Amino acid sequence: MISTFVWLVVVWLMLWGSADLGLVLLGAVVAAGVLLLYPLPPVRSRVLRRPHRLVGLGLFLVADLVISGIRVAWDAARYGRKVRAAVIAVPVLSDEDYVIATAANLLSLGPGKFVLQLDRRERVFYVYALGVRSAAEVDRARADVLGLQRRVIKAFGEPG
Amino acid sequence: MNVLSAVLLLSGALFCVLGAVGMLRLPDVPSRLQAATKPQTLGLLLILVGTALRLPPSYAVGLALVALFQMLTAPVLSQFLGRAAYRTGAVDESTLLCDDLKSVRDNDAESGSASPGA
Repeated sequence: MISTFVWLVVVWLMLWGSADLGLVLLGAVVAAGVLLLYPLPPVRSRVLRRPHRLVGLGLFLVADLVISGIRVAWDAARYGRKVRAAVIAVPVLSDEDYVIATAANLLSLGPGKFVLQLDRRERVFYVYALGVRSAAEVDRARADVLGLQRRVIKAFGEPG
Repeated sequence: MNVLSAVLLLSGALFCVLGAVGMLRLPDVPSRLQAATKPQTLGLLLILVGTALRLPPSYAVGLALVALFQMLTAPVLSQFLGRAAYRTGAVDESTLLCDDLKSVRDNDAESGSASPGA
């Protein structure tokens, strides 16, 4: 609750691009108003518990964004209409909603893949992967999804 | 600094063009969705960084917000659109090498139970 409040004030100040006392007070009023009008269930966030892992995850994502961006562009230019894709089932490694949602979002951020469906009860991600042309590449896409999940869990999942 | 900024702006624009090429060349909704949303995200980030280098820091902060919200919203959008496309049959099944979701869907249809994860 407090951290959400602080975050909203920070976003407010970033939007204005400056910080004087009046602006901070106004931001506090707006943030309080938002929290009162749109209450959200509390989520126990551990985003900042292991900062070095978080930085590692960030760098990995930037690299992933560039590499798979080039791959999707290449697939589109090289194969065009004859491009192949796959819908693969991958086990969900965590049982925390917060971690699962983060993993799904980060997975869908990079080019080439997105989460088509999540079966929460059976704990399965159904992932659409573009540019998959052989059984070996299906396995590699599945390993990528598992690897990303492990990184997210290491960054802010429950240990163990 | 100017050179770096120019390189970032141009490569950002290049990724946006590649996304547009993908839109034209790819066959069905989910694959086009990839081309439409993903290289653009990277392209926009590069353009924002390139622009931020040339602006006073107080403006650059606003650009960081643009980048943050782009990265938070783009994946949600592509998940929703992709799911809607799959469910309405807008996926060209001949492009799929394998479809692990199909058997689940068919089983559900036969047993008459609710669709999974709805």
